[in-house]
Amino acid sequence: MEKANLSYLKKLAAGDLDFEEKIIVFIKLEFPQEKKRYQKHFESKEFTKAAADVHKIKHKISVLDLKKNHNLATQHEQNLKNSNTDLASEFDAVLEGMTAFINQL
Amino acid sequence: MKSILIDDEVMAIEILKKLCSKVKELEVVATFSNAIDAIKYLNSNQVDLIFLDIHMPDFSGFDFVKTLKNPTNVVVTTSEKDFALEAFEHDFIIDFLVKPLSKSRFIKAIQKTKIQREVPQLKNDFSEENTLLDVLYANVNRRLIKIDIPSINLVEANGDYINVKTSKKNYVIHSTLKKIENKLPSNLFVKVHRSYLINIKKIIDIQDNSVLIEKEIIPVSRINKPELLRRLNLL
Repeated sequence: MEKANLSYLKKLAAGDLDFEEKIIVFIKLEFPQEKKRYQKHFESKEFTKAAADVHKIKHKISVLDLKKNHNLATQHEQNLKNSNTDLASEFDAVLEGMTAFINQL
Repeated sequence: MKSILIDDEVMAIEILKKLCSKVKELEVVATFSNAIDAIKYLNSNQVDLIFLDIHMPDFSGFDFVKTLKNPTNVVVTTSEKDFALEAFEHDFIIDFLVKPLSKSRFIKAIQKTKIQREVPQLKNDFSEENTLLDVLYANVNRRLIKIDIPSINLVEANGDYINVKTSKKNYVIHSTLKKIENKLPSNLFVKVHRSYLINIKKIIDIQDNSVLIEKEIIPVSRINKPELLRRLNLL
């Protein structure tokens, strides 16, 4: 399974530790909310809204340098627009992997 | 350049602010988490550049662009590269950045903005001439029919005839692909196959050796594919 990392963030920060820290704070703040919103919409079968939530989460996925998972999220987002939930479990695993990574930051 | 940033994600705003801080000509005068507040701000303030997230709840970035009255340069930011073609349909949008944003690509967008700011007068000088160049008169059933060039999706060779296809109508014209190719603006049309010329702006997607234009799949030959790719704004 693909592992999250901070290489994108470090490259962007170019040694600016305050910036790095600030972004991590925002990831820790926003990601759980975005995840919760997605899960709520998914559970209530509001798939169009869930697709929009996945879209929003994709930015965090890419900031954590999870390229393959970004592709999976894109496919899941498209599927949800057609009420197709085939990739839901795989996407849940991505969310859990991100949660674990973010929690240890 | 006075700039505003619009994105409902705080992290995205912070990343944009960081990138803007690396360009000394850029001054971020305000940030907004939704398009409505930005519209209110623009009602009483003039800015030179807007960084705009397309995917926002309630009021999308494209909806926002439609409300712009004063000519303002807009750089779109999104996690979805499939929005690129739609983005360039809007006059104010001058570039399209896919998240996560990179410094090099961001700088390129700023350079494009600078060029855009330098040419508005030039654009006005040529606007009348451009209007005339935007149409083509073709002989259809002994009548000279006016065809709006930007509305042409594609041209297909068919023996001694060509089919000029627009979203609303198809025209069968006694001519050759070569002749019409010389009459169409080369920045808009590209030959993708010995029998097809396509309007680049009408491409929906490209897969392997074909392009999708509206609902029609057009073959792309191996010889013409490099030129097609060269002409696209590829990341």
